[in-house]
Amino acid sequence: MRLAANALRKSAKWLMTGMVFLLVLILFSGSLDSYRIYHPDETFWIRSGQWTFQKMFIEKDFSSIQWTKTYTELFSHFGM
Amino acid sequence: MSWDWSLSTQANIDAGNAVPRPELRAGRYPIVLLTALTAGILFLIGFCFSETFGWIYGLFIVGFFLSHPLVEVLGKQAMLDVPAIFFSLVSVYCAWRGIHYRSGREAFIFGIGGGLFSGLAVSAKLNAGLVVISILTIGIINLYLRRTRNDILFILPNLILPALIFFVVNPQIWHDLLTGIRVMLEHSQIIAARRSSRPNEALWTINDALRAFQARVFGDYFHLALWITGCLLMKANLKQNYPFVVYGFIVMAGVIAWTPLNWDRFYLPAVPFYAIVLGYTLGSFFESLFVRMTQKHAIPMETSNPLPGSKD
Repeated sequence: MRLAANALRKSAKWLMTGMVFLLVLILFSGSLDSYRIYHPDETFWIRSGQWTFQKMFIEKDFSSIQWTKTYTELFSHFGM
Repeated sequence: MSWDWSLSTQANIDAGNAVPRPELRAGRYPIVLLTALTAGILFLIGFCFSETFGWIYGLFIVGFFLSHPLVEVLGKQAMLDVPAIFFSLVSVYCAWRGIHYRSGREAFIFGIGGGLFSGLAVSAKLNAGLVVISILTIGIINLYLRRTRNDILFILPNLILPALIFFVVNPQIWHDLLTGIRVMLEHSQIIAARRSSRPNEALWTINDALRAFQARVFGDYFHLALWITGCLLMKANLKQNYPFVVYGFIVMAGVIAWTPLNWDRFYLPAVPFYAIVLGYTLGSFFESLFVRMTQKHAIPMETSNPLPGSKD
């Protein structure tokens, strides 16, 4: 009996966590393409993220020296 | 690639200063996903305070977190602040589980989780290095209090994994580790050096830092008072809660000490602990209220249902 109650409590806990996750996902997903809350750094992070994805997963280029050189050329002005 | 304030939004997009709308939406979506996962992990943290009434604690913690002005904005922006706090919170949750183990295997598995996620947190953003310090401090306190083999099993992965993860996910430091780290630290100094050109945002003294922290994190004195009450309540059950307290105080102290400019995103790492303490305050109030109400309405067993053959 106690084991069943514990299992039920555990399932309820994960079910509620899932519901919280879904609710927040829905609440925060609205108007994501709005520039009202835009921060100029977002463009940097999106561009550098695309570049990193390209290097790591498409080109599979892990040449450390080349990485540093290209990354510096493209993105070193960030924060200046 | 920098935003030109003299141009309109569309002109900035056309000039390549800002990503177009579809890319912006695609870039923001993973952050929203992580914000939702962060809310999920904060809800689970509620169950660390009470197995039965954990959902009340969890709902309050999530409510305070999501309604915070910094989360409302940064929870959607395509930047690395939310990933850093998500990884940090998973790591702290693993630390809590890792010191409340039922077996050595469990201590080791949660130790690996703590090290892995604190490594990911510091890789996402350097200021999450405070979480690595927090997890190690939690491990050391735990080892000091109990001194068993299982406690060593928890702390070991936390000594190795964060540095290893940081090295693996940063290919630019592979060929010259020290120079790579120096460049990263120099970038932080560049940000700090901008204080002279931004006098309105510059934080020069500890007083400036404390004032900015109070305004950004607590907002008003009512929330500060509620937070202090929550800290005192947590102190009463410190043996159970200390992983969160250690994490919270180290992160808050670090944010106050090292933030050079009064920018919103520098204060986000302090918000989860703010929400946890406020959620704890209201959660424990409602728990005690609920327990008192059920006790008041409960009919004493011996008078309502006397056992057959008993003297009553």
